[in-house]
Amino acid sequence: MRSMLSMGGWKLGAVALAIAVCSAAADSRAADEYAYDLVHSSVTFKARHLDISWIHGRFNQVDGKFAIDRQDPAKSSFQLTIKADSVDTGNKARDEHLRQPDYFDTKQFPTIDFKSTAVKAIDGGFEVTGDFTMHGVTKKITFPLMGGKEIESRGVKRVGFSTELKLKRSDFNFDKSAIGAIGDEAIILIDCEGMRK
Amino acid sequence: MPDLRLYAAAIGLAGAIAAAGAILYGLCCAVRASSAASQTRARWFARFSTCVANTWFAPGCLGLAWLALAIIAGWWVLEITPRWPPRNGLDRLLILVLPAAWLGIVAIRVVAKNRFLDRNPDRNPESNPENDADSEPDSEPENDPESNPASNRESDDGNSPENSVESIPANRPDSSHPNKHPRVADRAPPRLHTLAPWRGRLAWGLLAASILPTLLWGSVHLRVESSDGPWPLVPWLVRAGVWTLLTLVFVVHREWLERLEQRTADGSVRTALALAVGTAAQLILCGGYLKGGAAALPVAAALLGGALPIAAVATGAIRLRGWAAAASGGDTLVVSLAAVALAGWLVVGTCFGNVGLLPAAVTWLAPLLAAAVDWLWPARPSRTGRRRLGRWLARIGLVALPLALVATVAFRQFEQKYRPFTSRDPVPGTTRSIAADFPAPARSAR
Repeated sequence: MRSMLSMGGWKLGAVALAIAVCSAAADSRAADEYAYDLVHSSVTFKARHLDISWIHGRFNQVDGKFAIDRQDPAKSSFQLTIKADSVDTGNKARDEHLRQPDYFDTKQFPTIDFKSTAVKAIDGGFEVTGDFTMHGVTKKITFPLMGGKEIESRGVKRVGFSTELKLKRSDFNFDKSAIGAIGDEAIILIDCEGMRK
Repeated sequence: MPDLRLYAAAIGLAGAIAAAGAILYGLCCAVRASSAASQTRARWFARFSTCVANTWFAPGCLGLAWLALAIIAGWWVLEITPRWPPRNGLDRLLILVLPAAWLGIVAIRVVAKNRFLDRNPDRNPESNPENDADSEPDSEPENDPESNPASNRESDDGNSPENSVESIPANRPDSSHPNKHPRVADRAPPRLHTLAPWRGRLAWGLLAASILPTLLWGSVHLRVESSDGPWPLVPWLVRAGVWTLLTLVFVVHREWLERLEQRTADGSVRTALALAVGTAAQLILCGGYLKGGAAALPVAAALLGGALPIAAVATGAIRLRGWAAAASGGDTLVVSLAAVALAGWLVVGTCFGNVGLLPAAVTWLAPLLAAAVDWLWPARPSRTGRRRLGRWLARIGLVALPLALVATVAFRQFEQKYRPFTSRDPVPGTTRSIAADFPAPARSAR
């Protein structure tokens, strides 16, 4: 009887473990993972010039991934890595100048990173809080990430998001002499698509 | 874009402070010499002058401190304040490498003096200021730092390079050198451990080995993206090889310059290094790294400001009793610091700025060309002041030639690449200039 009980307890434990593993697997499947689609995405920026107009530029090399949990948005996560070396303002000489240590210092700080730490659903998207690292300085930022609608095109599921970040360059230890006629505040516009099969 | 007026102010202030320091030192030497000859001077002033003259080159602290003061004044004008903790290569150069080199140089010299210098004035006539002061006025007119360098060094109150660890190999087999003080020549050579001279070199090797990793810390140059693949260690081995090679070349480069400074003893090596640091600054500026290039300008100005008065005295252009002998002993401390600064700025410019490897190599090696004059035009025992000046000019000319070439090419490339930024001409196809994107001083560059 004892041996049967012990056998029964063993089986019970195994079943419980299997259920736990399956539920964990189900949980992990609940979050849909998307890879950043470089072709249909863009990370651009603009900064005030002499406080009368805007100078525009973009980063051409960006990578990232999203995990979106529709049932429990708090389990969603967003990561983005921008290669600072890929800055493009439409002028080769100015781009080279921007890569220098006076500005982005791309040899010392090759990437601009964002990694979410908290996500909550809002009307029309998510409110994302996370660590934004630029020029070697990490700041916690919160921004609304609008979108999230998923469609399927040619067997590939796609989801799109848009957001706009306002950052002060002086908060990220940019050199004072590099903040002059070009405004301290820069606006980063992110329009990205994620895809999964 | 560069603010040339600000640069000129920083260069002028750093150069003037360094020159004032050199002249103060010279005047103190002169006062010391004259107060020893006559008792008319105030005793406190004579003591002060002797103290300044003795500590300027001997432990090196005062001369190097004055140089640091001149450089910091230049940075103050340029509003260059290194950040703590250091965030990039320039911060690490200004906060870690240069102060460490400064302290290391002084420590090596102090240790060498305490360990190897015979401090008994009865047995060591060159450390006795009275002997020096008495002998100087007679010997100075014939004083030729090149043909008779040892006689000058002996009057340098313990600054004698023979007493420093770097020149012990030259000292040991050469105790009967005709230029030596007779009491020194009669004396048996000091008993030193065989490895003694290598201790200083080892210290320099350790300092040199730490420069490259310190400057490149955390940058892409020390990162390997992926260690997978059949040869995961290859990238690290390549880096280790480059690091070893550059460390060895730096140690040889610095030692060569130091020996050249001892041999020439006319300020030409310091002047050459000042020109090289100035050229490095221009290369970095022309590459588009304004703060990095600007930070090197006060260093070049301070080196030049300190070197030119000494060169003027050593070549006989200015005659000041008591100064020539002491000043022409060769200031190896400043040369060592300048060699570190030159290497540091070239590493920062090459690895973080847009300075090419070839111009950087030419700028680094150009000061060594000062030695070519001795091969092309061997020194003769008796020469006039004009010939000494001619040799000095020939040395500087040989060094300046490749530096000018490199600087000209860099400036032309800068003009081609950044012309739209510095010009008020509108960009083709538009009605505005890019210069307007940058602060107002940008337009003063033109």
